[in-house]
Amino acid sequence: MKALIERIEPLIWVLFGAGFMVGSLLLPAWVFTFGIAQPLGWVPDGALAFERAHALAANPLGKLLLLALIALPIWNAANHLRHFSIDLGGYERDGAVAPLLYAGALVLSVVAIVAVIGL
Amino acid sequence: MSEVTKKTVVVTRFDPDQDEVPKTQSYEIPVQSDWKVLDALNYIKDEVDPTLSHRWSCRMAVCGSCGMMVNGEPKLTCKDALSNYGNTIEVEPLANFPVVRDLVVELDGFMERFKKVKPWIIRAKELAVEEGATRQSPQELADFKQWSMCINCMLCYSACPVVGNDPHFLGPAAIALGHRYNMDSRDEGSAERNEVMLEEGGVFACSYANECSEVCPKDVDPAAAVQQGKALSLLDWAKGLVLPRGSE
Amino acid sequence: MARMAHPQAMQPAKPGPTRTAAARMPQKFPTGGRYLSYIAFGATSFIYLYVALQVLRMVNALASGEAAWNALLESLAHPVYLAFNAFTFLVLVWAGWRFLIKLSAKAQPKKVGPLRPPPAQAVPPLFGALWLAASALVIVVLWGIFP
Repeated sequence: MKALIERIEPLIWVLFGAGFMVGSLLLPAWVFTFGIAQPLGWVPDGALAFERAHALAANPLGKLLLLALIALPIWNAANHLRHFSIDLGGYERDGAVAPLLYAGALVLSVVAIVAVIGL
Repeated sequence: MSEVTKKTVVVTRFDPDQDEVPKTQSYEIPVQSDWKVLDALNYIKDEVDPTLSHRWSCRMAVCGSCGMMVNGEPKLTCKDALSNYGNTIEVEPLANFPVVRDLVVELDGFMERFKKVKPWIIRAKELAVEEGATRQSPQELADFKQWSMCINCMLCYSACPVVGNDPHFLGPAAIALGHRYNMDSRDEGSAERNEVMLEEGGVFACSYANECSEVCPKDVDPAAAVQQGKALSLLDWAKGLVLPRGSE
Repeated sequence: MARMAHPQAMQPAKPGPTRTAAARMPQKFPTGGRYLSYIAFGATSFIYLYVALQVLRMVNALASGEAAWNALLESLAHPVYLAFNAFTFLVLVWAGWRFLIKLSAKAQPKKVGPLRPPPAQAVPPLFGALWLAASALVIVVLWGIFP
């Protein structure tokens, strides 16, 4: 299992980097909007109403973007947490931790694909 | 004549013939205001305790011998001024290395990593001497020069959290040196070197703490070499998926 | 005393002639000095995971219909959620700064074959501008300005 992960390590790194890129560029404004502005009533009425939100989300570009916003930061988190675990003295358990984290990321990526297809 | 004051130097001692584990020993010594930490250690060895063992050589930050932890930070003791510190200074052997004795660490682990990255010009076909010197433009030199300035002092290994936790990691200086050759216009060996960079303990073991570059006394910036190495190894890896080895 | 490093840390393949003392991590590791920012940066993974799962939750709510979507928006107004999301926003800004501005600058190879990526000094302003543009785009779309 560790040998397999080692063979695809560069791919995991690309997903991790892309996750950081997408997460850093887009998620702050996203969280600001949904997590702060919308609850405080700063977002103009109707902007996030169901009809508009669904229309934006369900169009092919919207689906792709939402998939990227879910899956890529998850790969970022999985890889970063793996290294975090090693940093805290977890090299020996990496044989178990790495497959668990990456399998989890894979599962959640599939869940995300299914979810956006369902829009 | 520089001022003389007293400082206490707390030094890690370890004698494998007598000690189970390292312990500390304090020395209160007169120091001059313009001394480096190395001067204090040499004073201790010359005047107080000849059993203290430590490495040093050039006294001018070019040989890389005198690396130690000073108040918890990896430093070249010949470069680090005593005046940077208060009345008590802690000197320990470099972190992340097995300790041979007192302030002397085992460096063979590094030597093995050093050799793994093939730090020499690799050419498919050696140029004949009659063909003359290989020309290299200032830009081509600039592409690798900073990474040729490494003095192998190992401060970067001591600062790196991955070196201490991952026994396979090549480490900053070895990777930076491999990168130096990969970026040298005379070299044709990057595919060969990147095989090593892609193995366990290669570039992707690095978690970009950037500590190596923070502590480097020669501004080599090994972290840059490792991150750039990740991108370049990735390209080699991707090429390898499309063109299987041996088909070129 | 500093934490022990991995028992095999920097051990040579062939042991030397004398017994060595086991390697120790730097004293300041993991939460002293600069290591604190590094460890905190690692911990931001939890926040990225949390946000990704929230976006997934939003997609599921949109797919379920108007009632589910409105319920989700209402739930975000809960003071605990609001406070945690405000904290999340700050974490994302800090992590984004560290990744895009501080760390990315020198990660670009000096050359890739015949191509030369932008030099290290150009990358922070470039990524900063990209960050502002991307954030503006998100605001424009989500706040109903366009489309």
